[in-house]
Order: sequence, then structure tokens, then C-alpha cells
Amino acid sequence: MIAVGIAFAVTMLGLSSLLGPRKPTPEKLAPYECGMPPVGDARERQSVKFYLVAMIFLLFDIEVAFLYPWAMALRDLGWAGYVQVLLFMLLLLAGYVYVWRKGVLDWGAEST
Amino acid sequence: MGLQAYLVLSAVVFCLGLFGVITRRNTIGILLGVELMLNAVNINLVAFGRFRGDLAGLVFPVFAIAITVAEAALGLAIVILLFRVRRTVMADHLDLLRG
Amino acid sequence: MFASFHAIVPMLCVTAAGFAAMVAEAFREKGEPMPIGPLGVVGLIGAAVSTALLWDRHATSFGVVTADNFGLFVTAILIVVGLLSLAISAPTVEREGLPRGEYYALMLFSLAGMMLMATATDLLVIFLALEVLSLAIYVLTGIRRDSQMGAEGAFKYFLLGGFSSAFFLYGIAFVYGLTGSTHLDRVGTLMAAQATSSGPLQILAVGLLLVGFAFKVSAVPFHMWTPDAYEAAPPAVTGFMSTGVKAAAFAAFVRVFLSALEPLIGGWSEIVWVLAAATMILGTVVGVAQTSIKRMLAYSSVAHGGYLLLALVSGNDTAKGAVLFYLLVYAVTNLGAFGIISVLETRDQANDRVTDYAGLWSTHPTLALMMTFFLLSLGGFPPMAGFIAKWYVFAAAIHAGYVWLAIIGVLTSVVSVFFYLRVIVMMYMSAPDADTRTTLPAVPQLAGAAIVISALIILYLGVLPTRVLEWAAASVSGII
Repeated sequence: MIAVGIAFAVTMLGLSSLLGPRKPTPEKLAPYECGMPPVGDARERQSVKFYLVAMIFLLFDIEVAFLYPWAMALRDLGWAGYVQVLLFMLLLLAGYVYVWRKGVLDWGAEST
Repeated sequence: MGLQAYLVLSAVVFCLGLFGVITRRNTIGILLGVELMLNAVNINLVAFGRFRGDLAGLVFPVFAIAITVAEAALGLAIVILLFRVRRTVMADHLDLLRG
Repeated sequence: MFASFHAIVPMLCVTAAGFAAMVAEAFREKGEPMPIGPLGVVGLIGAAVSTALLWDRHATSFGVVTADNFGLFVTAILIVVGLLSLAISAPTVEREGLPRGEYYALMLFSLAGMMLMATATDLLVIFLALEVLSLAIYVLTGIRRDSQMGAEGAFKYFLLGGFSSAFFLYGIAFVYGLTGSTHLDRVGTLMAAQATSSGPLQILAVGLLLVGFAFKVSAVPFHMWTPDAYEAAPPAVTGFMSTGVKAAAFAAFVRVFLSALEPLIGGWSEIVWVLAAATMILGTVVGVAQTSIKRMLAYSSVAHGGYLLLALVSGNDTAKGAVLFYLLVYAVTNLGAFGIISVLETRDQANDRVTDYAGLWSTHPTLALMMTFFLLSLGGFPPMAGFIAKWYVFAAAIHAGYVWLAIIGVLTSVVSVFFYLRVIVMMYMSAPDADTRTTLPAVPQLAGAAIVISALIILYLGVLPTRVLEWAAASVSGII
């Protein structure tokens, strides 16, 4: 069954690419950007800010991974577990406040 | 599949990472190699945990992943710093310090 | 619930201080002075008091951290390292305009990681501690953000560090796979049960762990990052990392290899033998050829790692005590030496070539005298503490039957004296360059005091070592 399916799909794709009419125009060749006319090169160099925010996102994102196991074992761990997780979140919060105050999250044009 | 298969998989991924670290010239590529090595170990840990029926083996990777991510973020930050001051991300251009 | 926190109180004090430093930096206006360094001192004093209270108590936290006397002795060394580092850092932070909260917070977090590493009794916690201390140190290496060298050194250090952590973690995974536990005493018993039939997996696990540790203690052939990172970082940071990381890593090294993996000693002692010999020889031989004092001290630090490995391979109780005493002496001496390099550095000039020290005796007589003390102690000259430390390490090696290794140690020590003497001769005999006289800066009080105190400590330990040696010897019994 799978073989037949693959063979069918390959045949149809191959046939349509061989037989289909082609009238390339600049509009058709341009990359699709949600219907807007494309602006600039897609391989444009990104601002370093993107990397900074990506890094910070990565860090805070992964720390949530610790919350899932805790949530699963919430009742077994009791208040001791709650306090420990609270401490953990407090440390993260301090890190968050630090990046915030240092202006890493500012997207305004005035800060460079 | 037996435990052995997972161990072999993890060893192969580890060696791929090792190969990447040694042969890559782009610092980002080297970072990817290090990440691959660290994550290969997670496969190993999960496999051991699964085959021993031991929860600890599944908890370790959570810590290992968190550490790995912190390392990746720091590595990226250092590469950005390097690019800012040196205008290059190629490892063989880094020859100020005679290693 | 709170009783189980006892063993980690020293780390908590340091972490809290680092935490406070970070928050203070976050809310500090630009240019607003804030006593962040003293905050660290308060944290360290808290840690010192709690360490003293925990002595002989053998407290355990959560089953993964044990404040036995061995761990506490290393914690005490780390507190000394922390206090001296904070003192010699102050002028650097001022001069280079470094973000002070960030600098001190990183240093304190790293110290907390080191303390955790020294007292952890679970492989996973050792790994976490190793990463906590390393990540902070990578950043500290590159803390001078406009320095090309700093960024390069940080990258190289980071790369090889990450690389070695992967090996270390892989080793932990295999130990876990073999024994079903990462707790050191369980690993020890289970390894002992398997020791008779040690297969390739055991060897692999031990080998991978060994590679991880060898990178951290910069043993040859895994030492490549050492000179680069030491040269690139500000000297105050170099002093901190060369001593703190070594102390923490060797504490964990001794714990893991001499307790958990002790049953497999037949498998690893020969490898460590070769590592120790190679490390002592290469560190000394390459050190002779260096023109930069920082790189010279980096290779000297590699060689000192070799002497510590020599004690490790000997493996008896005398050797463990010798490791502790050696770590203390090495920490104080090296911090003092890097403190001097640090105060002689100016904003635009590293002043770290051996020739920059020509005629230091006539411009800064006290500094020259102190530097002489430190270098002689590093070379193992009596009556400096370095002599006693080396004496005990070699005695332990001979006692354990490693006569050849001890002979290599003595010979390399003699050769290493040559390159320390070269600097000393330069300081006293040569006339200063016309331009160095003016470019050498004045010595800041705090850093100067730290240097003098370090010198007094090594003199004291050199002349009257008995009491500290007894402490060290007493704290090695019952290591988990």
C-alpha cells in the first residue's frame, strides 16, 4: 500500500512538473511574504538584539521544564517542595529583573 | 530494541559532535558540535533510566538539559562578543594568544 | 525540614551575597557608588562562621551534600581565596570601569559553585557545581568587553570547558548505567562488588570522568586552554580562577577517585601516573621558555597540578592531607603573585613581560620583596610554605611506593626554580628601563594589604606549619 502511494505521488508530481505550462514573471518568482511585495533580501543581517532576546528566551523557557515534574509531584512534595520551587523562581525573577533593568528588553529606537 | 541499540546511537551522536568540534572552522559550528555531544549523553541517561526502571535516570536529563541550554546561551553570547571586537567568527582567525 | 539545610549554609551565604550584588547592580544608577565588594566580604564572613560551626558535625543535606571535615577544609581554603580575590579585584574593577555588581556577583556565584563541588557527594551535583563555577568563570575571563584578547580567551576556555563537561557527563552516564546510582558511596560499594570482573564499560566510565577532571585541573595533555585563558583574563580573575577552580576540582577529584572509584584503582592508577609525570615535566619545560609572567605562572600552575596528581595517585591518608595543605599554600601564593601582576598593570599596558620587572627593587621595593617570597614559595624553597607542601606530597608518594614519580617531581621542582629565579634576578640585578619607571602605577592600599597578608600567611605556614598540617591530616578521615 505504502509503495503504491509513494509511486502514485511521485508519478503525479513528476508528470505535473514535466507537462505543466510555465510562464515565469518577476512577481511569480519573488518569495511569498503574506501577499505583500517583498522588501529587501531575506538573508539580511539580523540585529544583535534578536540574538540577545533569543538567548534570554531560551534560558527562561528551559527553566519551565523544572515546573512540570514539580507539578506532577505537587502533593507528594508538599510545602517543602513548594518553598524550594518558590526559591528557584525567586532566583529566576532576580535574573529577569537584572536583564530588564540593564535594558536588554528595550526595543525602542532610542537605546542602542 | 535493546539497551545496546540506544548506547550505540548515543555513542554515534557523541562522536558526530566530537567530529564537528574538531573539524569545524566556524565558531557557531563548533558550538553546535559541543551541544550535540552533551545531548548524546542525555540519550544515554534516558536509556539507562528506562532499562533500569529507575526514575532518577529520567530526572538527570532535565538538569543536564538546563545546564546545556545555559551553556549554549553563554556560548552564543561569547561568540557575539567575539564578533563585535574581532569582526570574525572563524576559529582559525583567533590567533592573538599563542596556544 | 530546616535541619537538612545545615550542610549548605556556607554556600547559601555566598549565594545570597551574590544575589544581593546582582540586584544592587540592577538598581544602581550609572556612576552611583555602591559598596558591592564589602557585600561579598559579609557573605564570605558568614560562610566562614558557618564553616567553623559545622566543623566535626558531619552534617548532610538532602543526601547529596555532606559537610565533612574534608569538604569544610576546602571550603575554608575557598573562603580565603574569595576574600583575597575580592581585595585584589577592587583596583582592577575601578581601573577598567567594569560593571562592579556583575563582576562581584559572578565571582560569588562561582565561589558558591566551588564550595558545592567540594562538599557534594553525588556525581550529578558535582556536575551541576562544576557548571555553576565554570559558567561564571567563562564570563569573568571575558569581562573586559572591549578587549580582543579577553573575548578570544573566553571563547577558547568556554569551548574546551564545554567539551570537557560533555566527557564528564558521559562518564557519569556510564557510572549510572553500571551501578544504577550516582551517589558516591553507593557507587563505591557497587563498584567494589563488580571490581573483580571489571569490563570495558568500567574502564570507559573511569576514563571519561578522568578526561573531564583532567581538563578542569589542566593536566597535560588537556592543558591547552590554561595559558590562553590565564593570559586573556584580568590578572585578578586569573588569580581567582587558577586557585579556586584547582581547589574545588581537586577536592571532587579526590572524593570521586579515592572513594567511589577506589575499587578500580588498578585500572586508573597507571593512567594518572602518566598524567602526573607528563604534567610535571611539560609544565616545567614549557614554562622555562615563556617571556610573559602570566604565561609563565600559567605553566607553573600546570606543573603544580602535576604535583597534586602525584599526591592523588599515592592515594593514602598522608597524601590526602598533603593535597589539602598543598591546595591552601598554592592558593595563597598564587593569589599573591597574581595580585602583584594585577597592581602593576595599567589600563593600556599589561606590563607582564619578564623584562617589565627589571629593577622593580628600586621602584617598588616592597612589591619586589613580596614577589620574591611568592616565587620562592612556588619553586619550593625553604623556609617558604611551598617547600613544606612539596615535602609532604613527595613524602606521601615515596611512602606509597611511587619513588620514580617522586624523583621526577623533585627534578622538575629544581628546574622550575630556574624560571622563578630568572624573574627574581631581573627584579634585583637589572636596571629599570627608562620608561618603565614612570609607567608603573602606585599600589592601591587594599590590594597591597591583601598581598602583604598572603606573604605573611606563606611565611607563617613555612615556619610553623604543624598546626595547619594537623588540621589537614585530621580532616581526611572518613571522606565519603
